[in-house]
Parts: sequence; structure tokens; C-alpha cells
Amino acid sequence: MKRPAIICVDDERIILESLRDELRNNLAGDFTIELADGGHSALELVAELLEEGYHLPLIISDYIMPDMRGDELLAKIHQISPQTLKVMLTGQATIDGVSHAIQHAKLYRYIAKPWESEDLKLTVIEALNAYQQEQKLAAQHQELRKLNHALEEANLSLEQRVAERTQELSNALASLKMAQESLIQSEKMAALGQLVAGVAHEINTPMGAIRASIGSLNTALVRSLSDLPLLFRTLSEERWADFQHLLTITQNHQDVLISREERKARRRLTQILQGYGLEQAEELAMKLILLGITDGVEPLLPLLRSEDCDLVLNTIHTLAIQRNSGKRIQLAVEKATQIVSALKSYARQSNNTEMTETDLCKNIDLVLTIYHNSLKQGIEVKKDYNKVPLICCYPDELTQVWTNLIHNAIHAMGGHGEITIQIQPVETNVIVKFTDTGRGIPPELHHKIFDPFFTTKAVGEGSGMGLSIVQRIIERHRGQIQVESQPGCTTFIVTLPLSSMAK
Amino acid sequence: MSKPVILCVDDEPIVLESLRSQLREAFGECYIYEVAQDADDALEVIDEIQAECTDIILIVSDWLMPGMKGDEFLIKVHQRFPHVVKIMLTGQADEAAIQRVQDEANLHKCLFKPWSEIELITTIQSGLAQL
Repeated sequence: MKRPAIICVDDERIILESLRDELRNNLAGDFTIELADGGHSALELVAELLEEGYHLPLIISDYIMPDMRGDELLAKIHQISPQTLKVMLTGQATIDGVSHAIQHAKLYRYIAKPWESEDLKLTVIEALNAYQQEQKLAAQHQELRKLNHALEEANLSLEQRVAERTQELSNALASLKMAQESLIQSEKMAALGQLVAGVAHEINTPMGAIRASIGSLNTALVRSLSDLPLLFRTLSEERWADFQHLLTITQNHQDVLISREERKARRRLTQILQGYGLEQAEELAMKLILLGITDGVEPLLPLLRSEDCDLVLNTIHTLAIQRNSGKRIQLAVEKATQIVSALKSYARQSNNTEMTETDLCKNIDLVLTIYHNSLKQGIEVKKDYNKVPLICCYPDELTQVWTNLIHNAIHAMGGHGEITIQIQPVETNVIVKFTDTGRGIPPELHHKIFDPFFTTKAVGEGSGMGLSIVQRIIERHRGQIQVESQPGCTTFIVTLPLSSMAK
Repeated sequence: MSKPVILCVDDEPIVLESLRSQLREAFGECYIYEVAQDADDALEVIDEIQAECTDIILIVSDWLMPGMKGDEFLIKVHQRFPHVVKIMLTGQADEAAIQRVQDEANLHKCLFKPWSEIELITTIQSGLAQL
């Protein structure tokens, strides 16, 4: 770093030299002292020094010089080096000259000739300090500006980064939402899938009965068609009356299914018939039992003893088979229709996105119908339904809630136990309670069970989304779900407001 | 000594009635046709029949029933009466359960609902022929 230069300008050589000497004595060699003997040479010197990168803290100039007046010179220097402090030194300055220098050159001080050595020294030292201060301030100012600039840039890039990050996050959120939707959908499909196997059984059972009954019906019809003409042709008045009597009393008979009682009745009737001395008592007893006749056989004795007995009993039996087959087909069709309509409403509701007034009892029964197959395996369902008003809700979503709670209950009980479903109005709410007799949920897990992906089931058995979705649905209905559990008694309590304005 | 017994087990009354009707049609008075609505009930019926010195020769059992399922029931029966012909009739195939009955109860055949009369009868006939 070059030493700063102090410039002295005077047209008298002697003054210049004495200035230099005094300055050198006082400034201990920290500065270069440059001399100029007139205005023009001073300007040249300044330009040269600036070009070479010198600091010019101070210039001391005479006022009256042949080529240029001091105030004029200082004003010019001020234009090229404003930071340089200017001191004017003269014996005969005019007020005009000094004020011109103050105005146009920011004159720092005016020293009269002959100057006091101490005065010059103090003035110069003070000026140099002022310059230094000025320089420092300027440097600090510069530094501050830089910092400010850097801050502005940082701020700008921060804003940009925040914007980018926000975009990333909202993209992530959007894809999470999509993932959630698809999870809800797959949870629904999984629940449906579990049902399908059971439903297949539910439908195949009545189908089997229908197929078998139609077979029986056809065979019996063929036999009737061959028996009846014979019967009409050959039967005596008495046997015809017996036939009609039997037809009437078997009209409303349905097969007695309780094997044990039937066996007892058969044994008893066999003995009775043997008591009347009838041959083939066991077979006769069997035929009568099939017609629903377990006692009071005395009026039938003439028929039973007659040779037309087999024909009459067989014909009645064949007709009874047709009647019973018809009834069975009817029952089976009702059963199949029931399960199909439950499935249909299960599926139809899935597209329903509007709130509708719904009977909660029916809504829950729909799920019970679909789950009938899993439930009948060893689970007793107790219903305690109190009268509740219709509530405005998304029925398909609530169906999903009940499906989940019932499915979990079955799982928790290992397929054996008791589910109690209670529906009751409490103040402005409807409270639905599902209580199972399963193994219970340990207290430390109570707050976790509603977390997404939390599951106690084996991998592949459950997504862990069930209860989380349940909670989401209940919240959408502005309701609440709570759990109370101890081994052997777990209750999920769903509270739904009567005036449910969904979110 | 009474006639031998064929026992049908299913939780659906209409299925039992249909089966009994078909069996009666096919085999007439050759056998006594007993029914039970679940496995426990069936085991009691078997005990009672035994007590009456009557032989049980064939069982047609549903698989999916409340309480004890068909596979467990037939295995239990097999332990006591290995010669009884066992036929399973189910609306829902559970491969593992069928396999188990085959391995542990010498299952004669598994039929699927809705069954056909011919299949049911020929299966029973082929089972009885082995006796």
C-alpha cells in the first residue's frame, strides 16, 4: 500500500520547502509530501497521483498564484478528488475568494500567512484525522451497502426457495391425497373381497336347495301323473274320503327337522301301529311321520289296513313333496334375493356422494346381512336398537364404518363370541355402540389404533387404514369415535350429531 | 336291528330338506335319513343312533357351519367311526380344509353347492359300494 500523499502548492519555492520541512517534522514519515509551484502543475500532479492509486488526504494551496488563483485550483481539484481536504494559505485573500473556495471546493480551513507552526501542525493533523474518519466511514458504508445487497439477494433467493419448496410440498400433498384416496378405495375393495367369498356361499346354498327341489318336484310330478289316474279309477268311497282327509291334514305340514323328536315319534308310532297288529309297522310309521302324522292314527286304521294303503300314502306323499319343494324354492329365492339386494345397495351406495336422510338401523342391518355368513360361524349378534330419527349422512361411508367395526370385532374374537350393537338417541346425538367379547386392546395402544397404517394383523391381512378411515369418515359427519376396552369387552362408541352438516 | 342311517348336516333347513328329499327319492326305504343342523347336534344324533344299535354308514356334511366346521366334525367322526363314508358339501371351497379332511378323515368326495342330483347320488353310491 502506497503512503498517502499530501500536496503543497505555492509559487514561491521557499514557502513550499518550509511547508514540506514542517510537515515532515510533524508527521513522522507516514505521508509522502508532494510539491507544486502553480495551479496547472498541481492539477497535473493530482491527476498523476490519482492514476497511480495514491490516497490524497490533504492539499494545502496558496491563494495568489500567477497562473491560477487558489480558490479556482481547489474548486477544480474538488471536482476530481472530492474526498481530499483543502486548506488555503495566504497573506491577502479576499472574502470573495475564500467564500468561493468554501462554496465550490468545500474548503476545510483557511490559514493566514505567516502561519503559526503550531496552528499548521494542528490543522494538518486534524485534517488527516478527519480524512481518515471519512475514509473509514466510507469503507464502512461500502461494507454496509455490500451486506445490504447480499441480504437483499439472500432474501430474494430465500423467497424463491420458499416458493420452490412450497410448490414441492403442495405437489407432495397432492400425491399424498391421491394415495390416500386410492388407499380408501383399496380398503373398500379389500373389505368387499373378504365378503365375496362368503357371499358365494350364501348364494350357492339357496341355489343348491333350488336345484335339488326342482329335481324332487319334477320326479314327484311324474309320479303323481301316473298315480293319480289309478287312484281316481280304483279308490272306493271310503278310501277316497280318507285320501281327502289326509290331503287336508297334511296341507299345512312342513318337514319336521328336529331329528331327535322325529326319531322318538317314529319309535312311538311304530309301537302304536304294532299294537294295532299292523305289519310293516316301521315303514308305515315312517310314511306317516313324513306326512306330519305323529299320533291320532285310529281314524286312519281302516285305510292303513286296506290294500290301497300304499297307493294312498304314496300319492299323498308325492303331492306333499311337490308342495314342500315349492315352498323350499320360494324360501331359497327369498334368501338369494335378500343377499343380492344387500350387495346391490352396498354397491349402489358407493357412487352416492350426496348426503341423504338415512335410517341408521337399516344401514347397520345391511352390513349384518352381508356379514351374515361370517357371523353365523359362531358369533351371536345382539341388537339393542332404540328408535332414532333419520340422520342426514353419507350412507355408503357409514356402511364402511360399520363394516370395519364388525370386521375388526370378528377378528378380535377369533370368530367366536358375541357382538352387541346398541343404537340410542342421546340429546342432540345418535350414539352407536359396538361391543365385542374379544381379547381387547391394551391401554397403551388405545391412542394408536386410529393412526394410519397401524395394525395388529399379520402382513397382508389388513392395511392398517381401516380405523383411520373410520375416524376420518366420522369426523366428516362432525361426529366422534371412542374406544373403551378391557379383555373380554371392547366397545367402539360412535357419536353422530342429529343435525349432521358434513364438512 | 334297524335300517342303516345316512346323516346330513347343514345349518340351512332348506338344504337338509332338499337333500333328504333327493335321498329318499333315490334310495327309498333302504335307509333312514337323519339330519342335524350343526356338528354338535350331529355328534349327539350319532351317539343316539349308536345307542339304538343302528349303524350309521354315510355322512354328507356342509363345511361352513356355525360352531364346529365340517372338516373338524368329519375328522372327529373318523376317529371314532373310520368306516363311515364321509362326503363334504360346501358353497365355499377352502382348499386347506378339504385337504385336511382328505388326509385325516379319508374324505370320499367334496361336492360343491349348488350340487347336481346325479353327482350327489352317484357319489353316495360309489361311497356305499366301498363298504
